[in-house]
Amino acid sequence: MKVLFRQVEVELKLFWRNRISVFFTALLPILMMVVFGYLNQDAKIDNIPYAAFFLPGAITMQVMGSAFENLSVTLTRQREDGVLKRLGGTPLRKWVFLGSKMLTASLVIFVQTLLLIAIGALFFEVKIVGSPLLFFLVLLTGIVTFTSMGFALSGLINSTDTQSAAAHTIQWPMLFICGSFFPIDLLPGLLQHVARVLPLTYFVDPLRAVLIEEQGLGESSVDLLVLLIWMTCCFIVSFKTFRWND
Amino acid sequence: MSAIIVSDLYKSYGNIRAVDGVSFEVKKGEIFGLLGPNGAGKTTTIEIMEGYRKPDSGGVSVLGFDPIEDRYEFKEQIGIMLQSTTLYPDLKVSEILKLFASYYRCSVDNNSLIEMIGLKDKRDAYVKELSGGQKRKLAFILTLINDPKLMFLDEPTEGLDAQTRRVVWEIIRKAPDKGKTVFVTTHYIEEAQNLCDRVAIIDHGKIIALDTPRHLMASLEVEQKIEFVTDSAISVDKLRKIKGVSKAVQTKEGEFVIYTKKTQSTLKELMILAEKEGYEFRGLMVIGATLEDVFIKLTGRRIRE
Repeated sequence: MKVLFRQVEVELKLFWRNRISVFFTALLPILMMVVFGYLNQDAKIDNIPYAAFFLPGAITMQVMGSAFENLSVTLTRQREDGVLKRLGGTPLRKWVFLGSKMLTASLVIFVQTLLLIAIGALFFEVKIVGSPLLFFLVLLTGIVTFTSMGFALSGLINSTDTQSAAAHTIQWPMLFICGSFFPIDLLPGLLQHVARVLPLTYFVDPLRAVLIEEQGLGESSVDLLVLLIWMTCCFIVSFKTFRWND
Repeated sequence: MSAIIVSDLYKSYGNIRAVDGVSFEVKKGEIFGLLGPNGAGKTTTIEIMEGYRKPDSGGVSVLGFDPIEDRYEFKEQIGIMLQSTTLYPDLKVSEILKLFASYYRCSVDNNSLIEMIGLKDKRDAYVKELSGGQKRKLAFILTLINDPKLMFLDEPTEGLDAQTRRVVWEIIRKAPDKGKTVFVTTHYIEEAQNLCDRVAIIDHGKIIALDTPRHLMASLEVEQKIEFVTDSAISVDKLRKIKGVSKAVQTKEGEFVIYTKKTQSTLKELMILAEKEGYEFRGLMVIGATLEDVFIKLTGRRIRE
């Protein structure tokens, strides 16, 4: 356990020392929140003001950027550079190493999420009605799912350039069709089917239900079940494909 | 007792046989060197022993462990210096040492390590600010941080200045006093010769000789060189007739080199000849055979070609 905390401490230090690049990752969802919020001030989706509809979507953008993309690219880079190889020469357990990255990403995303919620509440009168505990649990499940998915992707790819391109190619279409920006119902039929397979759909929907629509877990239980299945699969693949060196 | 047992190791990358049937044993408390040119299979061999690579066939036992199966307990007890070590560039030297120390059940005081290698004034520098040589120094002291029973050093003094190289050699030499075993790869002749109790010479993935440096040089009857400078007019033909001389050449005006397998009798006869002909030597030097000569004898090539 001590090793895990030490490793989280190091990850946070590294994170802070790279704060400029991190700043831009965090900035994008905030900018989108502000721009979309102003542009669609009178628009409503299912009787919900657009800003309120988009807030959970912006949070999922945050998760994809910080947990999925950033983390997986860093992992591949550290393997390509040989940082992992030297760590692999010590008794450091791989679950401690991966777990510390996951914990660090979670801490960072919690802060970013609070910031987004604050912006939504202060500037766009978004009413937060749901239970904080439920919201926290759904968010955490999403973070674990998408960090694992990033680690699994990193395990299948050798070079940082490929990793970065692959992460983008997976992340952006998923954000567009899975309901982060607009409801899935507005998509053509075929894309709706695709969206119903992808994990992000099952993260956005419960997040929105809990945060904005004041629903309990009961209404989203099927969604959460699918998300948990995705989480378990990604988690297993990420552990199986993890390697300290090529 | 054996610290390392390597038996019949094979490893190929595509069509290239990097390790082609290697077997040897390293005794506990021994400094064992693997000497060979770049690309001979040194790094592949050491990385199989470290548990980084799986051999195609053959077995490795290090301190009684299987490096892959028993990886965590195995790593507790060894220290590794990779051919090129990359560390978190955004951590400070002191932070790296603290971090690595935290990975082990027990660790040594890292201040003494920093001082020993001469990195004291760099303890608050970021890894990315270090020079190549300073990074090597840090990589070296990291191998000592868990007070290991066995150290794997892959080209440990590559890129180090002469002074630091001597410091590193001094530390390695003292290791057996504490019961430690050292396995070192190198393509530096002096390193293998001065440091190692026994040396295995590897070429094209095969071990072509294995013995103490002294025995290797003796067993192959490699030649020694006698060099001298003189103002006297000397005929090379006369030098060639001296007993044991296989070759004699004038390298520059007044400078001669004699190659011999029988240094003692050649020297004696050279002196007799000098008395008789009235030669005055200004300088005379006997240069012993090196492992390089052994390598040339075995392969027909220089080690760094």
